[in-house]
Amino acid sequence: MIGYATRRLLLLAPVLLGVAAVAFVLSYLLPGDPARALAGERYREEDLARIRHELKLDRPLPVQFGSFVGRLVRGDLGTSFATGRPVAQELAERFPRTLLLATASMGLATFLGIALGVAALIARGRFADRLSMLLALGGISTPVFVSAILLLWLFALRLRWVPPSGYVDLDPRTLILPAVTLGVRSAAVIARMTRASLLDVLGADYVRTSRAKGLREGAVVGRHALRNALVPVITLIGLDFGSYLSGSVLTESIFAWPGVGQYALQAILRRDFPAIQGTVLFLSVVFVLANLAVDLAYGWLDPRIRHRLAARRSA
Amino acid sequence: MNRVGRRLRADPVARIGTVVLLALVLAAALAGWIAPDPLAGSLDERLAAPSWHHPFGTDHQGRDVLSRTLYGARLSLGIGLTARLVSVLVGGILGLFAGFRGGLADSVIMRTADVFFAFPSLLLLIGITAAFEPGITLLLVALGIVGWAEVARLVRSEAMRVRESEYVQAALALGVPWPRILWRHVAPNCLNPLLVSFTMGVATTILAESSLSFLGLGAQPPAASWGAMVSAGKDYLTSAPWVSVFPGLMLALSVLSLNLLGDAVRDALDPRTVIGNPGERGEDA
Repeated sequence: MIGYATRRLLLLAPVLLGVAAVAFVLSYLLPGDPARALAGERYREEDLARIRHELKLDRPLPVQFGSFVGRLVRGDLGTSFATGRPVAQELAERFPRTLLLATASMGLATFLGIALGVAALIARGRFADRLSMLLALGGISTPVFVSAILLLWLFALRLRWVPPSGYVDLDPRTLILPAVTLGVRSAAVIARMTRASLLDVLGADYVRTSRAKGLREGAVVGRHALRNALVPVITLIGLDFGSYLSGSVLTESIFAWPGVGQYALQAILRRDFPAIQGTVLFLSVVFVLANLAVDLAYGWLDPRIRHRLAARRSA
Repeated sequence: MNRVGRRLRADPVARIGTVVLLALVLAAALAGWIAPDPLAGSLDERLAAPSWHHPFGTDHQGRDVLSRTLYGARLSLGIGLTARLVSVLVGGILGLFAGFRGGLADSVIMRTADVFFAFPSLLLLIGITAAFEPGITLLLVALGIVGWAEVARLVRSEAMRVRESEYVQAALALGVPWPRILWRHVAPNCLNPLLVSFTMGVATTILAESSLSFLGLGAQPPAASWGAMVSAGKDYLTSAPWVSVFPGLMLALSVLSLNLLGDAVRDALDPRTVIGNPGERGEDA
């Protein structure tokens, strides 16, 4: 397992170099000149040249890419053109808020999704099953920005139960709408996966045995089937959690949630090169590491996969 | 394929998905005859509530929301189908080649795919669309590019499996040139995953397009796009919620019908039914 994890981590290096190259090229393809943006409306040519020199934008592109990678290796993500602050510091301030939103959403999604999936399975073939699965498919099909707007309209503007947007420290009410928006979407996917996975497991011999010894259906599902059926569900939860950690651009923008997703969007729209490069790289690392953690957790949760990996290594 | 067709016709989920989708396609195709000009508006009628004359109400420029929603269907369905076709063609060809040839070609193609997988896809789309002059062509290219890696990975594994089959090994042993084997024997046997990926992917592509349009990076005004309409209406949520709600619901309905159809196609092609296909994952958040 440790060898597998090490090998996967080593394989990340070329992928991350590729990501750094794409982030670098992408930020230079963006139209607009950051030096001109910083110089303001009334500028002299010599001011522009000075700003370009200070920002090191007058060097050849390969040299700029070389110094970009060199700085990355030292953990320096550069300084934002727009705010003049280190990108790493801005990300460090924003990431905990994204983490909070991702945790709240996934907590809600896990509870709702598994409960709905189990309920649908117990009522399988009946109207309640079909209705809950149709609702789940509706949840998957509704774009995040549409459910966000509907929730905003109903709960913030009409009923006035929660504040419409923004982030206030230690005020959990500001978390409710963005967390529900993201959570409902994931809950729908989890519910479908839970039901499908349980259906697979229910055909197993040990389930037939537990039924044969007279256990009630609830106990069969809850005590025996669910534990095995949850392995792929947990993987799915991990993958969604990873994608939320790497920034929920739409949700954070709609609810003015000051996380890394909103920062990434602002950086791209402002043509803030160092912020784009640093953020894209940071988010990709978070995304890739989260996916790796899910792969490893899969092996840890299911001994059969661990044994298969070990067998492949010794072959 | 006859068996698949029979299974699809017998599946109520497939029938519901097809009927809803056909209704949407028909409404989009007939929009020019049944709906007034989506760009014509009267400021006297701005933000008018739904009525007999304007069943979905009017927007902040007095334009008919129903008419714009129907024209938006043309745009979204057209872009979704075309961009997914680009992804499937590019990813399919590269995946076939990587899986069948192996070696350096496989390594280069799959490591490039890994780089694409390492990006949160919406962020990559935002980056590409912000870098160039916004427009429909850019949208098609961006959505097509972002989707190729998933298709390539899927087709590659299928091509690797087919390569090991006896008839392909026999053809190789007989000295049949590899491009001919790839075209005549391997490609037709990789069509099933491609078909599932296409059907599932159209919904994802429509969601991605509408997300970009919502952020102002997709189809540009005055073109009617569902994402842009929802975005424009969010400033009038208290006074005129219909401006956002109707295009949003139509978007959800079209994605739902495509997901229903995609589920049915997947089940018809693979009786074991694999829920959790990447194509059904909906969208970026």
